[in-house]
Amino acid sequence: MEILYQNLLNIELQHVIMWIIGGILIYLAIAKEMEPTLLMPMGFGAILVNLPLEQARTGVQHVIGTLFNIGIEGAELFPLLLFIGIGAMIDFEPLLTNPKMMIFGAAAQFGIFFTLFMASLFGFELKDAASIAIIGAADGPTSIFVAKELGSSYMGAISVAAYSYMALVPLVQPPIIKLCTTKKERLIKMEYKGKKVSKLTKILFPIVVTVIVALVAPDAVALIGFLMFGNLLRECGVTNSLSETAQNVLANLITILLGLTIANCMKAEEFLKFETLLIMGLGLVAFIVDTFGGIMLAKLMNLFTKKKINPMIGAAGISAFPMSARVVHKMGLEEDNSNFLLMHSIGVNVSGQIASVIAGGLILALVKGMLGL
Amino acid sequence: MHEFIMNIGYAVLEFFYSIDVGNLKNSLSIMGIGMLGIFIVTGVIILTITLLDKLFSK
Repeated sequence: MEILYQNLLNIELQHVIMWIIGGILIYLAIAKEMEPTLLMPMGFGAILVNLPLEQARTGVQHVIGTLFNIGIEGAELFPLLLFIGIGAMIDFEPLLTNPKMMIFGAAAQFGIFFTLFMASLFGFELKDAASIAIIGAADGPTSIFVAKELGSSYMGAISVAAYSYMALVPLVQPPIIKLCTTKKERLIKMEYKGKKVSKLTKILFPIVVTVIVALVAPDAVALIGFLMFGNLLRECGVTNSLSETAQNVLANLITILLGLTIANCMKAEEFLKFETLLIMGLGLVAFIVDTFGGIMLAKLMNLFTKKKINPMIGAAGISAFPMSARVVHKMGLEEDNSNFLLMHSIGVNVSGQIASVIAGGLILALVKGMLGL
Repeated sequence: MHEFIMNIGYAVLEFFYSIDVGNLKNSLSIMGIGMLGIFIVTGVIILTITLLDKLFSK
């Protein structure tokens, strides 16, 4: 008889808090449809790894821990494989039509470096500050990859922050965009000339970008290489079945495993710290300053160029694809329903994907160099 | 009230005293080099794409 209630006595407050947090993530995923493919497995995983039952914990930990060791701890396999799928999903044509837009993708990574400074100010060690800062890359695989490479102790909080804020882009960005721009600026119309990009250019683009990034930031080669490999599968035209597999089966399979596996870092004793709240706050700062950085560059360029740029498209440089692009397009239509910014904002948005990987690689190289890792 | 303000003051001083200046300097230099690096790489990519497009467009 005792065996039926004995384990109830093992429940601790920290476990209950983590169940609530897991429940909140599941609620946000299902009811609010916020990044459901990741927040739902993470939420459920958080509940699994915080069960008070010793045998259950051991059993669950063994499975999730093994997946973590293979997929993340060992060689960051899951984020890299997911990048093949992401690369296969991205159409870089809007960027190739107007490559100058890539400059806004670069500017919109400013939040990463600003947050690195802020995290250092709050007392985080350099490797943890850099791992927290990479939340601003608005890219889950990059965040997990960099945090693992630097050996950060906050991977759970960083992953939750990265994926949550990616889903919150439609809430976070509009007020910042309105604050940083005037009505006159938001009304600027940008003409889109749908120039045809040659197939050869589309095929060479992923190869060339991989080589260029590898030469400057070798630590980013795995990320950029897998992303561009996925894109090459899409663009070469002779591997359509592989491209479809990468976009659908591979991406979904890895997403299931990644979400559940990251929960290994969400055990109560690791997650329930003051630093977790601080990380959530710093992650938000990263997204805000990213948005600010992209917009400010556009405004600066408008001082020197005849053909004005709608500064809102700078905000699309954040790597949250395609939400950020859609937010900017929607805001443009709200100001003037004949102002179609979508193709410009998509071009900037996909360039942000590349720029965020470059930022991740540079951060890895610079931090590892400073710490002698 | 006076004691409350003094306590806030001490907390602020303690915060600033605990700042690792070396770490801050490192993070500032990473900020500078990192942003410069991103813009340089982006510039090279933009030039390369423009060149590819000019070479291979019909």
